[in-house]
Amino acid sequence: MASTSNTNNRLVKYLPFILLIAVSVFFGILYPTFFSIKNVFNLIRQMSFLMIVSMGMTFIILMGSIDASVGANVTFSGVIAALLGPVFGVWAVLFGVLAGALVGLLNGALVIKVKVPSFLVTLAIMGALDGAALLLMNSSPINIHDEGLLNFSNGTLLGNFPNVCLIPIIIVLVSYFIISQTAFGRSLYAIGGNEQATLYSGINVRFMQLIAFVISGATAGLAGCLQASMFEAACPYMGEDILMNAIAAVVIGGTQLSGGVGGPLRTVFGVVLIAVISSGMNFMGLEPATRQIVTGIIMILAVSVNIDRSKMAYVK
Amino acid sequence: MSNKGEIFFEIENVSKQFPGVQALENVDIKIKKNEILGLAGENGAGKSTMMKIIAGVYYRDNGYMRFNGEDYNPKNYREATSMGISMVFQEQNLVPNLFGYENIFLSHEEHFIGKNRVLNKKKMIERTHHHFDQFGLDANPTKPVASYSFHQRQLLEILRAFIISELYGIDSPLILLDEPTAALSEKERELLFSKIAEYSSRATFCLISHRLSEMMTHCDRIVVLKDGRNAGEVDPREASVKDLHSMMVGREFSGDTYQVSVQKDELSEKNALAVENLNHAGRYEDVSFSLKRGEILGIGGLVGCGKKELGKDVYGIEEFDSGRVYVGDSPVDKVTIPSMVKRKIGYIPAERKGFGIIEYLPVGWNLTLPSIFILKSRIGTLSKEKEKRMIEKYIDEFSIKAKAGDMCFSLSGGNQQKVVLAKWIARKLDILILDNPTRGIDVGAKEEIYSLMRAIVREGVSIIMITDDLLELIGLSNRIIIMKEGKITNQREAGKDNKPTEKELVQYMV
Amino acid sequence: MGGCLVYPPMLFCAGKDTRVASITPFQPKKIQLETFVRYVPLLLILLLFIIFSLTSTAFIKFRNLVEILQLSSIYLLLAAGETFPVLMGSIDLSIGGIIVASGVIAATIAPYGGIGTVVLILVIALLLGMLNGLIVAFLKLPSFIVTLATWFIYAGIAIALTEGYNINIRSNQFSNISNGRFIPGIPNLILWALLIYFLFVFLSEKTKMGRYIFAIGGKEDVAARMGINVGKYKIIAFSICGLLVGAGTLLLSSRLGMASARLGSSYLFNALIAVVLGGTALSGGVGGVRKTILGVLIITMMENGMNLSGVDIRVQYIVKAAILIAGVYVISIPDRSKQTIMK
Repeated sequence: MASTSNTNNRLVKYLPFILLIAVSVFFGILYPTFFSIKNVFNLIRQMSFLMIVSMGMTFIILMGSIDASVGANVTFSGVIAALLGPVFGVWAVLFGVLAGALVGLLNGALVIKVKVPSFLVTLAIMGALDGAALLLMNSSPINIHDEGLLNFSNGTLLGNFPNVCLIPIIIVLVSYFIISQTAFGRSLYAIGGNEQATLYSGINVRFMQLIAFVISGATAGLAGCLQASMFEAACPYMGEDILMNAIAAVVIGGTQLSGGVGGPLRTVFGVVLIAVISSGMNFMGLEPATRQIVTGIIMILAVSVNIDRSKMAYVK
Repeated sequence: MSNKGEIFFEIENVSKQFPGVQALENVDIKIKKNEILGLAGENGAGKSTMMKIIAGVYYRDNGYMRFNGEDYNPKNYREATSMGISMVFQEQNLVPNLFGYENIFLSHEEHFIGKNRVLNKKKMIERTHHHFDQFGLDANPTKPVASYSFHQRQLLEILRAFIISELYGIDSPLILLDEPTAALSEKERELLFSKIAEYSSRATFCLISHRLSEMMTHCDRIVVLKDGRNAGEVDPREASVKDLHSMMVGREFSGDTYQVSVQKDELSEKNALAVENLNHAGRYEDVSFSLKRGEILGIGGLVGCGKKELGKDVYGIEEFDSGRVYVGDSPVDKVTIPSMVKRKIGYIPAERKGFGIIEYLPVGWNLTLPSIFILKSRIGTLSKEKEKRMIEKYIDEFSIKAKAGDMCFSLSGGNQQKVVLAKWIARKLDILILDNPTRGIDVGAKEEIYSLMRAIVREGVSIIMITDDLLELIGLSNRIIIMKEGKITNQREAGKDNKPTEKELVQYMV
Repeated sequence: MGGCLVYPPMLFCAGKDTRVASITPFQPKKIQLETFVRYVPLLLILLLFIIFSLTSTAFIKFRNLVEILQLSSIYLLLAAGETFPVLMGSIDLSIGGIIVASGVIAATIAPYGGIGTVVLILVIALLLGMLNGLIVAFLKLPSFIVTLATWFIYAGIAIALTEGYNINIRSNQFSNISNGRFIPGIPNLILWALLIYFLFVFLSEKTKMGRYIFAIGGKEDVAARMGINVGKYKIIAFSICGLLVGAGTLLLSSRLGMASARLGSSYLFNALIAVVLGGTALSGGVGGVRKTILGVLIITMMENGMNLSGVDIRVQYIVKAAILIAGVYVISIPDRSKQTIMK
């Protein structure tokens, strides 16, 4: 038993690297312009909000839960920011993040108080957020004209370094720091490993779960603001496919859906891999719908390689 | 009586290994037709594993089994049942939401399917009714078994063995009972044994029980296992419980094992913890006791007497109905796990895998889990240096045979338990509640745990030890509390030179 | 090792205390609560009927009641399908995807609405459901994650085939499946739905298959130990779900005269709410296909009533989400101890 799980771990550990190199070489050879500066920049733009959402999702999946509301939360928070843009300028982002965090708080509170499985709570919240977002934007896109808010994604804060790159990097570093350097981060691993034993060890498990959901909500909120700013509008369902991509990125990076194993740096590779594949499919001329199909298949494959079945009493 | 019938089930040279444990080693057992065979041994001696191998739940690593003179290699439990061997599992093998009759015929429905592929429920129910009546089981076969009492569910399982073997035309089934009496009341136990005796003319029974006297009264023969090997055989008509016990333990009660000589009998008068009129409906009632600083307070009693639940409630895992818990001299408003840990109380559960360790986290992380929020660096993060020092210190001090980075599941039971013990000591606690601290651990590791407990107490920690092991209770405790059916029936000193005998304690348990 | 592989559930017998606790001894307090929970659906239907009759004069008109029944018919088939995996303790999130994919693929291949279209819709839906089951059973993955992915995959297929437009199926014959009237005033789709529904109620209650699905939902490890081929029945349950969703899709397409790639999103929620409000617990093993019809009536009456009262469709989304969570909460009150790995 020990030997198989070790080989499995080793495989899973290097899988993202191997895949990333293989996929990059494949598209690089097939399309010489794939690694042109323009496309690389495009790639980074594309993966910026996925990176942010996936960081938040890593917190959740590490402790063995799931947050299915992140996609709808991106849309919802984006709308909030777009609506408040004319009033608060770039500070509307704060409200967007706050809205996202509140949604996370609601998710977390329902999961720990109502004791309903997290995927179901967050799925229901997803439905509610879709409705709320449509209501707020009156079912049509809200354009953003405020310079400040537009500069949030297009501007630069640090020399010539574009914000679109800077923000995800900051989020990755902060997530890495929290997960690897704090007691809270450690307790997420413990909860994912064995919730009961963690509880018995005196850790306030419920509170940790709540915080993790708030973090996931806040990152979704930030991603929503960034996306709205980048698209210069908040559109209905704009965050829809982020959910699938974020779960796929976290899992393919090596964080197990069963909880307790993985970490944010692995997710970074997962996100880059997903972004490269998605950009490559773009080069191949595949339509969004086809890309959606491929992403779904990738997600199932990623989960099936990287799940510790011995840890799931029975898989339902 | 012991040559009741010919040998009809033989086990030869059977071994079984689990990750980190040799559960069985070259075990030989012969079962005679229509006898009631007892299987005795300490926790972890391999009794349950042996039964599960016979029942086709586990597969042996080597050796032979012969049933009615033919090689017997069931692929799974179902195949075993259709060959006439059934097991009544400790954790009960019933689907709670299914009706009684549905459970009986589960996976054998093909005997009741008509040409139209529709189940003939009427026939199934009639048949069940018939057997219920004959067996004297007063339960409704068309109610979910979740609504049956524990005892009824157990009888249902025994009955199922007869009904299924009848379906397959087998006249004399072998029925394996794994600790059938552990959760039964006195009356139900008598009832169960009268049923077994009544049916022993039509079946062969093999049973595991921790109640030795019960086995001595009701079994024709008792096979003893110890540390996964044959330790001998006892004829109940000629031997005494004491003989059986010493064969199981392989040792007489010896003060050395429990380091009685270093027991500290002069205790401070101050209470570390006190419990006043604690009640929990259906579990225990009106329990009061106090724990002195630096003492080991042992709580004993039969399985199901409420001692386990008492321990859980005092730590805040479950809620008691009424009463009060004091830590030191101050009452605790709301007993929850975090609040108790804050008051420097720790708990070690009996179910190590389920609640004690986190199998797929490194030993080091398991060790520091209760302390992560106090291992702070200057900026408030988790200090990796302090953590590393703590891990090294306790791996060394507790002589845990593993590296900090090893996953906990790869450790032996004894080392896992040392990790659990160490994680609380590392947290610098005043009080520890232990539930069966040496369950499923081999003898050598047990003694290590005992000496660690002595060492902890010397440093001023107070221990409440809840245990099913009588010798452990006597040997380690400064004071002993005995519970019976939810009430404290006896409280006595157990000083160095004042240790009670097993017999003295048992009278308060039953 | 061998033993562990063949009997994975055995590894988890360590927590036997919680297991015994899940079949707790008879407790009168609990039973009362259960009885109460059992009558919640009926009370809700009555309550909704009274409220909407008072708030809207149009509500109790015969035409509106028929409208409610028509809407119910489609939800009934979807929800009955969803009940099978849920009874087993699993979940199928992909039914919205199955609706659009089966309709669109069938209409693309056979847009003329003949018998071919009918068979294609049903077969494709069955296969898509079966695919869910195969992945869940053979790759041993949690159903919620598998069907979340296949939901996107199936919906992607539908959108890719249609570029998001509807495909019209112009055929009187096809339209008559739902809109014809054997009984004056009652559209056929109601009859079809009831016929199919009761057939599957019968199957779930009178056959080995139905009982095994209950057993798996009740205690999967015991079911496996007793010799039930758990994987096989998981595949069957998901296939039945697909087939019933296909039947719903058929009636829906016939009623609307088209297959659309943009239909599915709210169907999942309504189906889940109906299953849960009917009294089938998400933890599995409790409830039944028979009960789902009550949940369906609740959800359609609510939808219809809210529409008549002029409640914004987007607000309805929010209301439904709240009902779903509340419903799951109430239904699971009697047995909160049974939390599976779905954290």
